[in-house]
Amino acid sequence: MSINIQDLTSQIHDAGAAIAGRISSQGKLIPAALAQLNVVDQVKDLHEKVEKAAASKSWTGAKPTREPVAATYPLPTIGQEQATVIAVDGSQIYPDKHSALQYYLINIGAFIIQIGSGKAPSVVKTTVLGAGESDVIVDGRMITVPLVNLRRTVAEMEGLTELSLDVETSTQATVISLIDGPIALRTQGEGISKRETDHLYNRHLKAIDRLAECNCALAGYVDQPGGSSVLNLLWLSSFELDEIDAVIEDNTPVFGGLSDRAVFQKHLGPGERSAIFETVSGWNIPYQQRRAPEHPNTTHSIHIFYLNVSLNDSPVIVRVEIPEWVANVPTLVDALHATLVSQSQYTAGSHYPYALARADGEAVIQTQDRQVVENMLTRELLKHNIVPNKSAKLAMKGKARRYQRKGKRR
Amino acid sequence: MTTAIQIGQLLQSSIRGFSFGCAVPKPEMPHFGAFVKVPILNGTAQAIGTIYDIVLEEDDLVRQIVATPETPAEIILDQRQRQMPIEVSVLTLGYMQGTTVKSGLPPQPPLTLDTIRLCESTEIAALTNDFNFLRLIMQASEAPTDELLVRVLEHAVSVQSNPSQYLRFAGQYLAQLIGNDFQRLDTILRRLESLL
Repeated sequence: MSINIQDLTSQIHDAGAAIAGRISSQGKLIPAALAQLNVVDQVKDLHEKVEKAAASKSWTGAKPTREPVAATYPLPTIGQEQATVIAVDGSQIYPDKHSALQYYLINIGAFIIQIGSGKAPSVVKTTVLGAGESDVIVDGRMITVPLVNLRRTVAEMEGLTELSLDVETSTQATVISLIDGPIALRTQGEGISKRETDHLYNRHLKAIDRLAECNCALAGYVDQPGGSSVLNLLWLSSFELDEIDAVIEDNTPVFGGLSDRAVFQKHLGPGERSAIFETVSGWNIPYQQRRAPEHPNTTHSIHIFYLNVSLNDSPVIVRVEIPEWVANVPTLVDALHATLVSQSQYTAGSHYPYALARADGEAVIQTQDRQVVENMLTRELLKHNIVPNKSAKLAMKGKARRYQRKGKRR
Repeated sequence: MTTAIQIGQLLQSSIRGFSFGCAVPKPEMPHFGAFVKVPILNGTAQAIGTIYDIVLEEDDLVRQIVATPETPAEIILDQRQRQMPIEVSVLTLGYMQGTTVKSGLPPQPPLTLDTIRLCESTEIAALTNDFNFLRLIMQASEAPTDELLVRVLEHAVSVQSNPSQYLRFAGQYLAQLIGNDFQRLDTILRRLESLL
């Protein structure tokens, strides 16, 4: 072991005390948040307050929809018996500037299960290697980790769309198109050029357009969500309309930095979902501005609801992201709600939807996979009489680490 | 074993043996004691060995499904067809260059990702014509040698024109190798008798 245990021990002790203190103080704020949740629907001028905050462009939070803010919805008794679930996940090998080979790789895994059919599910894997000059050099510099992540997110959505359209034409059942994590691209602050950003949004929105055309229930599944958009709404609601500007300018975390998840753990019973909210945030603007094909007066604006996927007394709260055209169709929301809870029962230990767990298993790139890719690339380069050279730093790191491992065996 | 079925790709290797990965076992997939081959020396030769271990890696997902009271048919079917990681270990017994098959260790190990195939009957017959391979098996501390020996001879006998004579010679060779351990030899010979 290369870490200094003696140094670490006292720091672990301090960290444990600090974490316990924070959890304790946040826990004391949950009743206050729940109390506000219970009265928020009676707040006068709530919609005006939210509209005013949203118009400021600097407030992020949850905007109420037709459903009361504090409403809870039980597990639907129907809706998922005939559903077909398509789950997609991706993983990647990031470029390493010290490596002898400059490339990145994106691997997309998909899992398709026809619930109640008695048929074996299927898996699809797609691997994309980015090793050409135009792949790895973007805007005059080596491609960055955030850009690889965004390209992976776009590839996931495009893969999900292709599979959903294939399935949708051959089934009468509701098609549930699941992606692991948030739906929307988040490019702000990532240092990505406008040209590249526009290109990615264009591809992403086109893929979602096609899902809207076939009325598939698109959803992003966010496990262990850390956001506080509903709490921001509750906080906002506790002030008068003429105080809203001051509330927006105050950047102090609301309710002591509590997360929505902590509140919904107390608010949602087994299998229940929260109300649906529209997300107010800068990253949602491109989706709010895009009209959804085949859904009049509706956009791709990202909406959310919280869901307790546990059916026992230990709540497991997740956030489900859906576009407006899904949020507006109760049968799609019910099918999604029922399917996600049902799928989460087959992975009893973790309460994670089986289809997403399988997609993740198909997508994941293991350490040895990286070695395989690099061996194949090296062989190909050797055919062209090119001997790849690692950077001196990486070569020395490898030697030093090998020596350390041998030393350990002795 | 008349066709050279591709059964996996090499994970790691040495002169003495190698291991390879493959999908969930199917009837045509490798069996304990089966003869397999893999290219060596830049594809100009083939190392030949026998499978002495097949390990299904631990799977957390299956653990969780097992804890579920009612597992739907689709999920059971999915688990049956899943690409579960399986590692197969092989003991090298000889190598083949052109039509010449030699028992003993090859000059170089195979390379990672090379393709493993089942041996043809003629290749098994050529390798097992003399009994040097039995010595390599008996010396393999990593393998369940007695069980492996019986299973390998079962494969070898199946491609011989005179099985009883072949087994008699094999027994005589084993007597030279482990004659000082009468109880062990007796157990193996009794198992070999049952092959006829």
